[in-house]
Amino acid sequence: MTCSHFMALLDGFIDGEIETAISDEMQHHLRECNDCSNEYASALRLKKTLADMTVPDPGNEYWQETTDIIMARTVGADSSQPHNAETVSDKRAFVRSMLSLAASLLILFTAMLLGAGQDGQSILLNPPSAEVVHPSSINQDSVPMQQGVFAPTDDQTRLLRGTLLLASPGAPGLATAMARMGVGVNPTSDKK
Amino acid sequence: MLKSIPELVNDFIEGDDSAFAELIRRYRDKIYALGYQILGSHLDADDVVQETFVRIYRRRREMASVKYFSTFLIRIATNYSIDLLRKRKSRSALSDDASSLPGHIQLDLARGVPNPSDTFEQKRVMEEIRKALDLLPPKQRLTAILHDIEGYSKSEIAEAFDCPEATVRSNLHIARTKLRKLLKRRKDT
Repeated sequence: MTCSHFMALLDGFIDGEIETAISDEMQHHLRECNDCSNEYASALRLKKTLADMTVPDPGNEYWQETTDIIMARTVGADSSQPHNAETVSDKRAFVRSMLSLAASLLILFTAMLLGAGQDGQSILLNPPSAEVVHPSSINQDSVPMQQGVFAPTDDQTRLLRGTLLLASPGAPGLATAMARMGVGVNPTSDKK
Repeated sequence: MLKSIPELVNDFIEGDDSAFAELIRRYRDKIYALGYQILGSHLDADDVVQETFVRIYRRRREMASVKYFSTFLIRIATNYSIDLLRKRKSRSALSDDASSLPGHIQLDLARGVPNPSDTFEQKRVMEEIRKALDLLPPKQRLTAILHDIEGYSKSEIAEAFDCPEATVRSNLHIARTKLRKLLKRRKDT
């Protein structure tokens, strides 16, 4: 065995990772070579010194304190802040949705009451004093309709119904009331 | 009956906080020793212990794909130690750290020095080695610390550093050779 071969295997040799046959060769070389023998002694001394580099034990009280701190920074933080925040957030969302629902119902109910309370009259579309003129009469010879009655065409009725259904939450109430009153509906047109 | 590490890790992943506490108890001294050997002070070692386990907790969902818990732990601890090394240019000595600790912990530290044959000569040699270790590049230094001081196997270190075992052998060989030369030079002067 050459010195360079020995030095290449030195780490494995002191770590006990070399096969027996090669290890025997190295032992033999050690007995014959002073330089390699010195290097081996130096490497072995270093390994032993490194292995002896102990760390002072900080003590049980330190370990307990440190473990408590880690648990507080992890498990404790997890169980207090995020969960609370989540609960509060959930509660707020629930309250918001309930308020929203209540407001919608209130508007709808009020609209239905207002609509039903007109009892066959529309304050907006059919004021008693107003005289409504049929749009088609604008460019034709004016034929006055029956006073106080709003009688649009079928198209206008459909448009009105559609607009009301797509409008505010009070729209269904108004539409219902208007249908019941027969306002804007030509009684004969539906039957055609 | 004591649970095995894989059982504890599994319980920890599933949200069992007592399993996490048990993992801390089983590994805290190893992480402390590792941090102490790399950074050379009690306060830094304490920082490494806390931060390592906090990071482990935050990454608990990743743990399912981890093969060996101990090497995962070493990887996190060494990465954090390297970060600290880069951030802190100067390092305080153990005596300085101890003086800043509360009295009862100083007492425990004094009680905890375990080796009665810790002679002046041994201390001097260890200080020399510590200084020599400081001069090594991080990977070589960490490999020497993990293998020769803390006793981890080459395969464990390879797993922790996510590199081939041949790289660990190479780093260890270079580190040992440099340390021998540095110590010989100091001895000669």
